[in-house]
Amino acid sequence: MSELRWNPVLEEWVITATHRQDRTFFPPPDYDPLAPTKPGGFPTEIPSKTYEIVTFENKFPSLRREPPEPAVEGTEGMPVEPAQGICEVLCYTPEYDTELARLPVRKVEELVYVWTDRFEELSAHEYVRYVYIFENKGKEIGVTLAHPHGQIYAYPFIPPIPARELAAAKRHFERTGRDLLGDVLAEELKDGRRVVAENAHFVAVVPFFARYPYEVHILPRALRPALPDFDAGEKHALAAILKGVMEKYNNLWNRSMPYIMLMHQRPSDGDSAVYDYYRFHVEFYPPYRTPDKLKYLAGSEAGAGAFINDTHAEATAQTLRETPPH
Amino acid sequence: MEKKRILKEDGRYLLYYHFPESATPEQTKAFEAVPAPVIVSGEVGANTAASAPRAGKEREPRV
Repeated sequence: MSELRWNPVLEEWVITATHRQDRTFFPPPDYDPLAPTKPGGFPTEIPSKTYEIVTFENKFPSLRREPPEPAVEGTEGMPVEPAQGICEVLCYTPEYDTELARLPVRKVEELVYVWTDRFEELSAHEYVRYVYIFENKGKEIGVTLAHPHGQIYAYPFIPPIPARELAAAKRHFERTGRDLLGDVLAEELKDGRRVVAENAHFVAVVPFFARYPYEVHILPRALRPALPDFDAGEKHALAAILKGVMEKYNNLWNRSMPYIMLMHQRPSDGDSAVYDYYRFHVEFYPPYRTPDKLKYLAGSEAGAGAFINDTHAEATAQTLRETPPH
Repeated sequence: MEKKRILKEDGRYLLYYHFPESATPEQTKAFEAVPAPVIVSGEVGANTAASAPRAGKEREPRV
C-alpha cells in the first residue's frame, strides 16, 4: 500500500510505500532485470534483444499514476492523500558491467536529451508539480540493482529541499533583482579556490557551504531554470562536465566512487519565464570522507538538520581539481 | 532522437529511445522491431514551496 501522509510539524509530505519491502535485491548478472531479454533467457523488464536508452515505470513505485486509496483515514490536521505521481527507471545502456562515467560523452549527451524529454513529458501531467531526476550509485547509497541506471520521480508536490531553494531564490530576487545561484556562482568564480572544473557553459565547484566532503555542484553560467532551456551547445557542455566530474571521482582513489547525483530545476506548474529567478543545477553527494571512512548522517544531521563537514571545501576542491578526469 | 512507447502486460509503459547517428546496426534493428509508432522528440547535436493542499488532485494529463 502507499499513500501521502502530511506532517504538520515539519510541513512536509511523507510517502509510505510498504510494497517496496519486496523489491529485487542485487540479483546475479544472469538475472539482471534491466538487461535486454535474451532469446530463451528469463524475461527482463526490457522485451528487446538490445536497446540504447530505455525508461519505464518502476515495478515497485513510491508514486503511481492510478494510486490506490489510502489504507488509513487522515484528519484535518494530518491529512492523507493518494500517492499519485510517476516513478521511472532510466537505463543508460544495455551493458551490465559499466557506469555513466565510462560511457562516451556522446552517450551522456544523448542522456541529457532523454532527461529533457522526460522533464517535458512528465511535467505535462496536471497532477505533477515537480520532476526530480537522480541517480543512486553504489551499495553504500542503498542501490539494489548493479546495472547502471538512474531514476525519475514526478511528485505531486514540491519536495522540501527544492521548495526551500525556490523560496530563498525568490526572496533574493525580490531584494536584489538578481538570481541567487547566479550570485553564488559569481562569488565562487571570483574566489576560485573551490572551482573543480569549468567549460564554456558550466562550472563545477565544491560549494562554500558543502555539507559532504566531496560534494560538487554543477552550475550553468547563464540563467536557465530547467533542462528544456538549454540549447544544443549547452547540452553538449553539460554532458562533458558531468563526465569529467564523475571521472575525477573515480580517479580520486582509483576506484568507482559511489554517489547520489541529482538535478534541481524549476517546478512543473509553470514555464521557465515564471521561474526566471531560479537556476538549474546538478549536485553530487559522494558518501566517503576518506578512502575508507563513510560520512554518516547521524544525530546532528538526521535529527537537527545541521550538517557537520569534517573537511574544508577549499581543500577537497583543490584535490578534485588536481585529480585528472581521464 | 526518436522514441517508441509500448505498454507492458501489467499496464506499465516503457519507452525506447533511438539515436540514428550513433546506434549500432543491431540497436537500429531492435528499435525498428518494436511494434509501436515512432515519436520524434529532438535531435542530438542540433539547436533546438511545499504546500499541503496541492498534492495531486487531477488524474488526467494535460496533453
